Amino acid sequence: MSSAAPLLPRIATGDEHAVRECVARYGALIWSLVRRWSPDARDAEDAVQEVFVDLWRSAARYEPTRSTEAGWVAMVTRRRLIDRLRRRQRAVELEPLPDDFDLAHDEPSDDARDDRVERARAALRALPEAQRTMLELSLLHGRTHDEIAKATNTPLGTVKSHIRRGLQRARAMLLHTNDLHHASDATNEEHES
Amino acid sequence: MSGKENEVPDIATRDELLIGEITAALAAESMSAQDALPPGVAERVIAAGEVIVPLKPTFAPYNTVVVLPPVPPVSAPLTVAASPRTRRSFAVWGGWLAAAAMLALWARGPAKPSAVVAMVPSAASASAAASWVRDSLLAVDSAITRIAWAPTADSTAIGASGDVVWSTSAQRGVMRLIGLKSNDTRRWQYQLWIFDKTRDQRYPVDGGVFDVPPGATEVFVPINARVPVGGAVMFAVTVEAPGGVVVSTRERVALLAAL
Repeated sequence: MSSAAPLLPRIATGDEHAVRECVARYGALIWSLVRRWSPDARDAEDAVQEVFVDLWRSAARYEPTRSTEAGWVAMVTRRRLIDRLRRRQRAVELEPLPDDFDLAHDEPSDDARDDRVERARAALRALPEAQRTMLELSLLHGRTHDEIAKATNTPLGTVKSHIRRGLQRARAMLLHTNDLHHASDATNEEHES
Repeated sequence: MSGKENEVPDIATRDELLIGEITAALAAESMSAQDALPPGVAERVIAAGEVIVPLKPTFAPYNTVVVLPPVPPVSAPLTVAASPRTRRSFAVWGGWLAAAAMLALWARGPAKPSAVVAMVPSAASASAAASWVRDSLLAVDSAITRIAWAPTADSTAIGASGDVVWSTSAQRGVMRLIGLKSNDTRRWQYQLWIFDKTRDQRYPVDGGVFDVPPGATEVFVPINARVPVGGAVMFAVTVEAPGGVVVSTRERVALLAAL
């Protein structure tokens, strides 16, 4: 997905011919997220519509120098799904990011952008199993930290810690390719209570 | 779609972008054949996108709520001669406005609420896609034209209602038809006509023929004008021979919607 010419700039200029290509390229990504977050098929179909309308309307805000297109699409999708989840469960305590997750000094280079998703996949493979599982439950399935704690029979504090450290590790590996090697070495440090 | 929670902020935080990258990576790792976007859903999304994307340069600000004029009750008389513009063209429209005048005298009871019933799959799918297009037009085009249908005394339109939505900038529109009688496609079809104030008003623009499937109480029909419409001021649905006609005799007018 990351190596193809970006479509969102074409969408932003009003090129309706890019619409079908965009749906073909990102339909599966969006659908894979939506159907995991949605309680039923009808809700998923509504969510897909909303996500794509968001994409059509906000395509001009995509900046190729800051992220891959797939990553940006996933971000927009996730925002919409969080909105929908909050509407369904007014009191939901969804914590998409740890409070202390700070990215103040990361500015990705253009060189690193094109293969960022691929490196993210590599980084995820290098994560400890518990961190990866909890990141999947949180990011892919939209589970709250409470829900993850109950589902995995893990203390809430540990869930938060796994997610925070998983994100930090993934971030570090995305920004510094060499850290991929260090990650494997440091895995044992991640098993905290 | 309104409210702060639906807003896509101008600037994505780096945190969010990173989460997006990781989410995309996680999804790519775990995607299966099940994750292919269902074809029907994809077509609806594409249909909506092909309406919205060309409108991009004229988008309303992101969190703007598009306030539409209230739809008059179905039983309200049609007032096609209300505006100066309409009065100027009164003589030209002749037969069409005669039908409209009949409406003003035609009293009837309130429309019964209706529900969408099962239709043949292809018709249902096309109607659903048109419904999404309609929603998309209403959501993004602040200059949208939306007018309630007024039924005539024609037997096809007794109790019928709905509205017509038209975007001049997109040159697209959708008719919402509630309670219009289903047609026998072998014997007759409905045809839409668009009266364009920028054209010779003796010759309304052909908006295409369409069917109302048996059992369908509510259908959404896309409008595809044959030529560009500069300023739509009235829409009319006639009953015609299968395939439609080039010039309508206007013998049977089922629905009218006038500004």
